Amino acid sequence: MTEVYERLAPAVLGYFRSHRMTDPEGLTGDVFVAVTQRLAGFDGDDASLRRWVFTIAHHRRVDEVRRAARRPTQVDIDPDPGPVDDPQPIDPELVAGLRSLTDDQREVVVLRFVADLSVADVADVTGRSEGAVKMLASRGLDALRAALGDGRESSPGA
Amino acid sequence: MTWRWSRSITKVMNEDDLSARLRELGHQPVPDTVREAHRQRMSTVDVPGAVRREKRFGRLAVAAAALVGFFAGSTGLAMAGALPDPAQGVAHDVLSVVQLQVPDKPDNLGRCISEAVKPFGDSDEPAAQEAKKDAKEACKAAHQPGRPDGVGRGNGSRGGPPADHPHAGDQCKGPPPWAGRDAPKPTPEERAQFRVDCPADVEDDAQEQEPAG
Repeated sequence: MTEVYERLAPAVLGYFRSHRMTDPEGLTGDVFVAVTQRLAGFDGDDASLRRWVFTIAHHRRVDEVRRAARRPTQVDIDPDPGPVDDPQPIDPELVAGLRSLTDDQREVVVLRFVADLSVADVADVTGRSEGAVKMLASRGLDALRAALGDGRESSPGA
Repeated sequence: MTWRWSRSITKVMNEDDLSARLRELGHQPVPDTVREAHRQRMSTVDVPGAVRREKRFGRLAVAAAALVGFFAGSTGLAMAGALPDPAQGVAHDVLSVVQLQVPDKPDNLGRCISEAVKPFGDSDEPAAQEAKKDAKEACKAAHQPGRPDGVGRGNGSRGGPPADHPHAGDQCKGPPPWAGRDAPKPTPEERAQFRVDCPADVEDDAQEQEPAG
């Protein structure tokens, strides 16, 4: 289990940070608690293990988004709070640029590149066809490039 | 054309650069404090299968108890002679192996009697009457329950039930000769003879009307 954590925890944390989740560290812990509970029943290679872990992370993220939508909005006064207060901001410009993507494009781009999953694995995690994944990834990268301004010009809140 | 080609190259280079930046997001190390917190959470997880809850009664135990109950009840019915005729015969054969004596099925006693008296027809001659009586006696003796041969299909013996049988010495106990699904309906003569031989078992026939003539 320690080996699995050391190998995948950075990617899982980066996944939640890329989606600008409120508590990416806590969500990462939730994912690996679930992995610990179910790892004994898992049977597969490294690629399938990565796909399985990010399936758990994807579901956890969806649950958290739904839960946040049901919560009272008293803590979310500013509709555009800006960058999350991250003690270790990692490429804040890139993270801010990801906000300009649609939810579907962002999910595919983050799973494809941040989580380093193959097109087939991304399709399996998101429940889409491989063609749809490729299209969303291509359009997501175009939108991200446009948000970054091609010339690496920062566009906060874009 | 050169301009378009250079734009394509630039786009590819930018895309590689962009994808590399994205991949870098997934390779940042987890802070030590966060890692320690995660490990503490994972260490408290109960892994399924480590502790198995012991069942008091498994499926096999329940099935075995059901079978034991079934056989115990069936044996009780067999000993009382209350099983259907085919089952009673099988129970007699099976349980005799383990030295359990249960009544055999009233196997065709009526047919035995009817076959035995058939040669004499409706003759009223004393000799014929006597022969009929002897034939009936032989059939009854051969179909008594608890006989060692297990079937009681008539071996010509005039003997009564075995000495260790509960009905030993009293051939009028037990079902009448016409009992059983396969037994032919008795003639009035046979009924009358049975009443003479076994006057204590006439309560079932007390309500029947004697045919005229």
